Amino acid sequence: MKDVASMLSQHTPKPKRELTPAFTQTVLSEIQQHPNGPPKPARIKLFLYFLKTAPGIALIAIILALSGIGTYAAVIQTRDNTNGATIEISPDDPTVITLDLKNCRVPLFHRPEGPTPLGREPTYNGPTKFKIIQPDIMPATKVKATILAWCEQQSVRAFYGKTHPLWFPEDTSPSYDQHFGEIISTTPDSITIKYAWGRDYETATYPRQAALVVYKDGRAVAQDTLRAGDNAVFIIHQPKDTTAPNWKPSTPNASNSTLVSIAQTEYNVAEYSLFEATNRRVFAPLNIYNEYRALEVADTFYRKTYPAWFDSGAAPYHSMQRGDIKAITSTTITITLPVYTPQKGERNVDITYPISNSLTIYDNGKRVEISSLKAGDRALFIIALAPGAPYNPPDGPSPTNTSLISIAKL
Amino acid sequence: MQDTDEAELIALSLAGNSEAYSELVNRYKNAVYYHCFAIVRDEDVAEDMAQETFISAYYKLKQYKNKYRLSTWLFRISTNKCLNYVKRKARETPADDALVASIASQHLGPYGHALDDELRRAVEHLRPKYRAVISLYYWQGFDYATTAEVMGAPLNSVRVWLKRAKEDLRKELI
Repeated sequence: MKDVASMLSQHTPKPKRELTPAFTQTVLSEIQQHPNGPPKPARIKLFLYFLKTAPGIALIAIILALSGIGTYAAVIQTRDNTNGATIEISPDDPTVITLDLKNCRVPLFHRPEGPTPLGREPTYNGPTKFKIIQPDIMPATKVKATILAWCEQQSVRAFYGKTHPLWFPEDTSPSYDQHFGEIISTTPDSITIKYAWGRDYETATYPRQAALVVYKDGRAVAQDTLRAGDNAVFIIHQPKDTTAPNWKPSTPNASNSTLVSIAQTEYNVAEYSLFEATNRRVFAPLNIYNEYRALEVADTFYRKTYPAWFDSGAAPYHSMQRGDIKAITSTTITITLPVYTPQKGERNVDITYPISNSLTIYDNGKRVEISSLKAGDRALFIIALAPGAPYNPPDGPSPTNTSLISIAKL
Repeated sequence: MQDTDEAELIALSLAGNSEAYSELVNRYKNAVYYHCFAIVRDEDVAEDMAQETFISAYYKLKQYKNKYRLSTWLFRISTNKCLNYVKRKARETPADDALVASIASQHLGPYGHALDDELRRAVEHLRPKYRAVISLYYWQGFDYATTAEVMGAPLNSVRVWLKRAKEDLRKELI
């Protein structure tokens, strides 16, 4: 029999996506906008007032309110597809763009594992400068369209999450999946689409079904509004073969899947998807651009060189953590990491590890001596859990429940 | 602010110091987000629930009693919000049992590499309330008493829920 308690202790589920960088700022903005408490729905207050003072007028109020609610609901739905992002290309340096992303959840840069030490995260309050990583293949104008496309994709995903939550309980091993592309042609009986798949486009012709739901700007619209050339997000249902142990979705087509919904979009979302599949990230915050590049190199290097460390279910589990080197002696190294415990929340913790003979140090993917490290350096640390140690030790990681395996300079 | 004591941060927040409240949010935001994710299983929704938790907590900060840890109080707010969300969703979307069963069995879940597939799938099939206690007890490291406090339930109920959750998991994993 499996030891469920032990399995649970050693495996903490993590969402794939980290919190958006503007999380705290969003909370503060909301509080600052309403310093005296959460906003009360004005219509209800007004209606209650009417009900108390003039019951006869209340009936008219109900009718007016209902008509108003209809309009209001439409406005709320429309906002799902409005991100309010502004993007400016620097006139002095075409590889630098200024973004004010507001509510748009673009993954501004990739964090391999875990957050940076507190107080060291770049902030994104208001307009922030970003540097394009590969301007030769993705120039600023394309990046701009890419970001708008990405914002739109997020809005569409959020929209479907609300209108059809059962389609997307999560986003791996999809039965229902989003595909990005455009409509090639339509006939009364069929719809031909082109969508991004892996690193290329595919085309498929689906029979037109009455149940196919089409949305535009967050509202359901008639199927006959679809036109060749329209950009769109396609929701395709491809049932999983539960008898196949390593089932993966096949390239969707009419014989293995059903086109269940289409959301028309303004921008070409497929382009971003294809670009990211080939080139990873598009841009990085200007003030940490160099560190970001080093992080990309280190992350790729470790995953390529030591894939077993990051295998599903591999033991011991290795984690990558960004942090700072606080001090080095001939026998020990003290590092600063953000650590969470229920007792004290997330905070920076100094951990002193012995320097073992097996500790490896890398700089830009090349092995270097420990003497190249100094106090104050940022680094990516590879830390292994000691056998049998709980994933979340009550007092956080320590030299007894974890070991420091490798360091990459950033 | 990073080295400031939690009680002082709370006092400063009550006096309207947004920097202090920002520090409190930073200390607990990831933990609350992970916990919400364990219950609602959707990153976007989990982030919304976590934000709502901190917004509600700010408005109710005067009611916070320091006989509990701040984390306990925050987890209680977030657990309630997430369970209410799950209930609301279930009401909004009339459940077609066959459809739910088919979708649930077809999705592996977003838990990532830290959790092996088998266990991950089994946890996803648990009732939301059981997922909440599993998250609090095993993943957030709370003891029985604190888990009960967060859930707003008697200690014995939490013991029973955990026991049943583990039994359900065991059945799935055999």
